[in-house]
Amino acid sequence: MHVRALSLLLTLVFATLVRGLFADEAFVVDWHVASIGSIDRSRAILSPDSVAVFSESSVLASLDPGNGTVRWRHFLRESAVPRHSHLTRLDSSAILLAAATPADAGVTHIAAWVEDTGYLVWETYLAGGAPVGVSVAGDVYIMQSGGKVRRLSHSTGSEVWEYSLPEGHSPVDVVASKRNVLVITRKQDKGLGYFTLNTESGELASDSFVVVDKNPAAVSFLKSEGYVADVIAWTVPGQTSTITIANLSDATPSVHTITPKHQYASFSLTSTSTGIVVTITGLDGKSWTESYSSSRGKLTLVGATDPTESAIAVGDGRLFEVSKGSISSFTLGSADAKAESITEVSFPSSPIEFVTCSSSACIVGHKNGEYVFASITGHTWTRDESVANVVSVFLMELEEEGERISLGEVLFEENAAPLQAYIHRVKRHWNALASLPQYLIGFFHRFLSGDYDAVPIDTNSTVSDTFGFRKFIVLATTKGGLRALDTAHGGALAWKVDDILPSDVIVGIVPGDAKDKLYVVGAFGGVAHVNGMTGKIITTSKIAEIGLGDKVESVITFNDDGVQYIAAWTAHGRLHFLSGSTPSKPVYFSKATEDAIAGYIYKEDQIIPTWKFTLPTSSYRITSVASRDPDDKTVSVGRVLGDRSVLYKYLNPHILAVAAVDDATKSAALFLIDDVTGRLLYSSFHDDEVVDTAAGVKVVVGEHWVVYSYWSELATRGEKLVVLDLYESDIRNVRWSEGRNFSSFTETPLPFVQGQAYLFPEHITSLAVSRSRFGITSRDVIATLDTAQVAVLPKRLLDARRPVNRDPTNEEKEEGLVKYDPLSGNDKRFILSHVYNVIGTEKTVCSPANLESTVLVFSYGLDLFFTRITPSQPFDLLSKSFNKGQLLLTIFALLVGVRFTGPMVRRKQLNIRWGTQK
Amino acid sequence: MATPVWLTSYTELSSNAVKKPSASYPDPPAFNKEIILNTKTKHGKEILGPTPEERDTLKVKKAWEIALAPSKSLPMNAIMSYFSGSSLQIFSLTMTFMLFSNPVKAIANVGPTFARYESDSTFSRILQTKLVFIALQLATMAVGVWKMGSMGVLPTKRSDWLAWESETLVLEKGVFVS
Repeated sequence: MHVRALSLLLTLVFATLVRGLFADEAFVVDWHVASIGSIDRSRAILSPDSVAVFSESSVLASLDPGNGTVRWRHFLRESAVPRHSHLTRLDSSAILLAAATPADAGVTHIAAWVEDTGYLVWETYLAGGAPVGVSVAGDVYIMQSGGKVRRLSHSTGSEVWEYSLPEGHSPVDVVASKRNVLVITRKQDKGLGYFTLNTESGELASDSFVVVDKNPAAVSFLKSEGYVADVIAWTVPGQTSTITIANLSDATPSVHTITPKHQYASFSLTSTSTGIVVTITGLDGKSWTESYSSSRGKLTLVGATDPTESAIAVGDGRLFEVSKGSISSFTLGSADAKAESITEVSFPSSPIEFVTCSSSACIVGHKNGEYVFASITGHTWTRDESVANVVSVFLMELEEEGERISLGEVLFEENAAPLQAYIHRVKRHWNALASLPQYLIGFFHRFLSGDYDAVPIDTNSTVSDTFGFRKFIVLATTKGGLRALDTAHGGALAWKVDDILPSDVIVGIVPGDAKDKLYVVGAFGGVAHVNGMTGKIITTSKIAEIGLGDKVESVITFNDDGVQYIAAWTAHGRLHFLSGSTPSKPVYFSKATEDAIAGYIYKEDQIIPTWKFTLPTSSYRITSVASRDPDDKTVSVGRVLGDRSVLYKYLNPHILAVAAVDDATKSAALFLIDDVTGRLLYSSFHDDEVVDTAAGVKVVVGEHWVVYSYWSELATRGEKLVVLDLYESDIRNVRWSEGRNFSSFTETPLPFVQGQAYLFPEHITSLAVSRSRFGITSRDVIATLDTAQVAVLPKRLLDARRPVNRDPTNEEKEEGLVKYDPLSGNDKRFILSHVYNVIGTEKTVCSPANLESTVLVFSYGLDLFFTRITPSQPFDLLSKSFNKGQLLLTIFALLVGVRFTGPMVRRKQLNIRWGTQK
Repeated sequence: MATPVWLTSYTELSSNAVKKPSASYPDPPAFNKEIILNTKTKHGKEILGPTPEERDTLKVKKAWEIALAPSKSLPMNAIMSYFSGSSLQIFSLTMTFMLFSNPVKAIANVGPTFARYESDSTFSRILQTKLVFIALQLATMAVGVWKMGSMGVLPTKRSDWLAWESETLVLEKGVFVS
């Protein structure tokens, strides 16, 4: 009880409006991992002094070939769709990216970028469909899916000429050379062929459509990467033994059909000065190359390598063979040549997905999301991009700090013979002495600097610091692995596991029954039990009862009557308990679909559908659903007003906040429903708004409040943040739940809802609520912004009770209310990420530290960002500027003073008594 | 050994002992030796001191004065309390403290305060004065309580007991499958 009273006092005393990050905390309490995302062979350009990539996450980046750090990157989510993109080199200093725009797939965005600096040279938007082919021969030639071929100026991007395909032709590719432009199309009745265009005028050089393959189904089109010959190749679906190759550089195209040694799964084509090299991967996974010389319209096989388990790639006249422990390079074309160089490289054990090479180095992409750069000189670096593809996150608490003594040792010392136990104990203490110097150093360091982060913690240990700032962030990635990052060491990798559930896709990661155990669950029922401290897999199993065609959709963990249950929810609405026991009491589940929320009851080992909440009209769709964090604690059941009366909070734990948008009318709606009974508690419609429905509505549920936000196109344009505070009654001091048990099935009054809207100038991409250990500290809403920032919005500011258009009265001032200002959240001091460019974050998780004042915040998506916040100021932590030396000196001076003046005073008093002194 | 004169005059209170050689020094002015040494005047009339009843009445009167003394400071305390405002400042805090500490001390010392006026015959009357005295001290304390109330430090409002209110027990377990 005292704790509660004290806590209230603390909250009142320390909740101030002045917030912000101190300069000496930046880069100390926070860290940032800049990612680029997954890349593949077609979207990586490697040259001896640069690496340029365009990733699946829409990041155009240039990497330093020396160490793999990002030289620059652009997040092109607004302008480029990775699936319809072409990345090519424009000239020696610039790269070119052409891609369909996300807003309209019929528009192509094409831009040239300086490779060293990332500066934009030019950009232009072209109507006429997504880019199908891009070819650079001095100027840029682009073919779009709408049947347009355009020549763009190399230096300005302005259009030189435009050509439209005749009726009946569908675009395939464009190949430009100095002399002419080949427009390759497919015609329904004729098959695959090409037109020749005049480079200067863009007009047809000859009227004829030259057919090269009569089979209209010819697909899997591949253009040569070569610089001499214009070679194209294609295959026919289902046909895995022959490849058709056409050399278009001749006056009349020569079409050849080659038959590789074995049936193939995939191939690529490279042209050399004398012919072409085909790199083939067989059906059995082995790779080989076949070299052909091209002369006088003939293609002759001149050599082939033996099929090998290693991955092979061709880059600038060389053949590279990448095996587990080395990378070997060969001169291209000489079939049986010895390797020119063999470089020892320790590649990850994960299977190789692609290899792309320049003349001196290769990038080897592994299935686990690691990209290894290896040059023939032996220089390597690795980028782990799996952390840019996170499925699920868990912040794991580490072991308590203190003496490392195992239970076994304690038992031994208690039960053994006294002498033996004594010897054991002395030995143990003797061994512990070894860490004394380090402890002392740490102690004095911390004492003098006041900086707890400066205390070195062994990176390899699994011990938490005193304040619980050190945790492991365990990430489950779409690449099938786990990564544990150390929050106290700038996100350094603590451990990793790859391919944890073979031939399965990770759905989620949840804490297990023991503190250091984690459950990793896959879509096809794979379950791995992992030690979260070390990453060691303890057991793997499979959910046996999972039905055919069914798969796990999500993993849930909940606590009922002190027992922790872990369960997997499947697409067919089944529930499989992974922890041994099943609940004996009925448990009510709710699950959201695109347009409805469905309720279920689990009793007697059966799950039965109970209720369904459907949206008002069919044009509505649910964009986000939130419930209160079950671990969130309530300290005070009411809110104290200025006149010391109480508004009781509506603390129904069953509240589900359902945010929906209507694509037809561009409006948004929010529903609060009870997730046990499906009862509608509150609804609000924003019918007169023009909502960006693609961005959706983001919603979070705090203690007794809901905050949601949506982008409004209406004046004033911006993100509108709505806060709803829920109270039991609008009458003060009335608490209907007093002395009663709460049941959703009894007719309880609807909550009294107070709402207020705030304006935020930036797009908010996600919302989260901070949670402290005991719930005494006030709560913050954490928002990730599309300006590559992470911001904090104090709930104290997002208050529905702030007086509007007038100054607060004395009572309201005592309540801590300030005058309503719609732009309250727009304060640069609320930006947590300061100078970091945190792009693509989609989610934020909060985890309490050991200190009540401090909450750890971790945002992820593409980049990772970690910091810690103190929503009510660090009231339980001495500030670094606290002058301990002065305090000690003062105490010391006082002690000395007392030591000397004490006897003097005593003597004087005695003399007075004896009358010898007045 | 003969007893020295000074010892006799210190120890013996009989009139003989007091009698000193008159020639040694004169009596102080207005000193009437006869009144001290004899109860009779020259004219044989007895000089009467206050009777015991008179004495008691005097004592009770005096006791009433003491008992009613706090009532005089009561209006001043009330006015000062009112004007010092309801804010928590050192002045008003000290004043409020005095409003409690002084009455408590006075009540604790009520016996010694009235001991001088107490005798068997006046016991019941002095008891009345004591009760009035205590009542007035309590009234002073009441001013203090009112002052505390106006400062908002008395747990009279609902919010003061909020910390002791516990959360409602929820009967059903609901789980949202995200």
